[in-house]
Amino acid sequence: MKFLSDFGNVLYNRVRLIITGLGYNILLLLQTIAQIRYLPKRRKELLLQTENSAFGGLPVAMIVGVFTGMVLALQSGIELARFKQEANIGMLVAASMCREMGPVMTGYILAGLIGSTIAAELGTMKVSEEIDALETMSINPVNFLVLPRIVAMALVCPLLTIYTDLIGIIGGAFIGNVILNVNMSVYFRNAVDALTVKDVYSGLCKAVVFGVTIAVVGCAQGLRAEGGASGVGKATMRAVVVSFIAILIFDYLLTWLFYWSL
Amino acid sequence: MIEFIDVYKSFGTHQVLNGLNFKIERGETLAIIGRSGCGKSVTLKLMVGLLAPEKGKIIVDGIDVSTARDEVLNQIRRKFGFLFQSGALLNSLNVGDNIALPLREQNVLPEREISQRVSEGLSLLGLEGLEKLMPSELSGGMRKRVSLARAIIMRPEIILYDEPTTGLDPIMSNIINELIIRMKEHFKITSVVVTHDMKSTFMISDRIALLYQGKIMRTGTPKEFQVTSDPYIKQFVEGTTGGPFQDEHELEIKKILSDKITNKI
Repeated sequence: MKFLSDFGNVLYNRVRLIITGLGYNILLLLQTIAQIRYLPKRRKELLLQTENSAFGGLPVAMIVGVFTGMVLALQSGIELARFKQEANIGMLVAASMCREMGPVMTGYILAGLIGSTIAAELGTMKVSEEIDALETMSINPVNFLVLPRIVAMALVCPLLTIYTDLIGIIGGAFIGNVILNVNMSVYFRNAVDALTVKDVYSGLCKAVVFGVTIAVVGCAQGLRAEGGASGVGKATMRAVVVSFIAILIFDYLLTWLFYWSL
Repeated sequence: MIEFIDVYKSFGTHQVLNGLNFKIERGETLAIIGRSGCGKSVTLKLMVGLLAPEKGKIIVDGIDVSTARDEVLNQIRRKFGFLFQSGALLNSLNVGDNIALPLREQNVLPEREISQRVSEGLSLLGLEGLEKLMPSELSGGMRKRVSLARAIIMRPEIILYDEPTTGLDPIMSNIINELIIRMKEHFKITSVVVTHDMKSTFMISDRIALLYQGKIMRTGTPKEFQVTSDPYIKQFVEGTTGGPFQDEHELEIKKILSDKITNKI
């Protein structure tokens, strides 16, 4: 009985923590939207955050993009070759990258690189009373710290996604040409012909949602950090894990929204 | 000017403030002393609305800080400067930008005048020419002084000091003490100082308040605190291990150990 009681308590506390955390994230996003008029005042910080996020993600996005495109081409090439349809490999790689792999992979890269950085930076500020110092100077931490980070990620994630998509398609072309003997011009013509506007904008909408999610989660975890260095470490880890899970959930919901309900 | 009326504050099951009542008059320097964890820093944070009490009122110039709306709270906060224990400088900004931050955010002065005020502030605190340094390049004493420069840049009426001399060598501690006295003499600033440093307390304060078990146990002038026969004040001022504080501390430890043994059985 004690085991059941303890299990029940643990479960209850976990669920309560998840609901409280979700509520805090939603509230933080709403507070940030309410402070959007301060964006011109924060343009210097916005530029800095955009620069850091974009340049921080570029090298990893290149490696992840090219290998994702190459693996897509290899795996799908095996099946297409059975039906003598290797020439259509461009279509498959392009659609997969733009609709799904590009935004999701970019989201994971930015969650790991930038989401963790945001959580660590804000968490360190929280435990060293810098956030308190801002409030005593009548400076709202939401418009000073959170707003530029969310807007920066909303801009950078789709831009980096375009970059990842292109690199992935090029990686697929390389494999298509070298291993499947598909002519490069055939590959790219099929890729362009097959891609619809919806493929592109659905992927970019996902990227914007992922970018905002990563920034909101990172900021929320950072602002709630407590307990010194170990607290900051936990906040950083939670920011990455929660972002990963949120990207998966939003990916499913947005795919359903774009391709099954609209 | 500042009044705490029956203020209660807890964190989880730990009751920190238990019906705190006291007043701070305009222009005075009040030192709040007490054992570690007794609620001194919490009291400072309640004054500026960084924390909210469960019960009671905190009145600053006639306005209850604990229930004030954001706009009103921001106006009250402009009367305050806060020197945090670690300085709380923003590590992403250099010294000059840290000090100028509150002025730039208020958007009331042109940049030229802001730069002038920053230079004057640094000069007053013996830190000329350090505008371009980053906080990580400063010593502990320099960080405290830069933090003080930031606290006074808006010409506050009240400055709150959270352990201003903790972690500093005796010479730097004296420099900080002299700066606190100068703030009062030159700018007629009301000061509330939370500290363990009794030498500083006697040097800078007009009045001392001993916080114990969530309430102000005793108040008095430095002279009264130095000559009193009250066993609590004597033990705290002299820093002796034997006395009513230690007796209660030993009782606490015995209770914790006894609870642990009972739970194991």
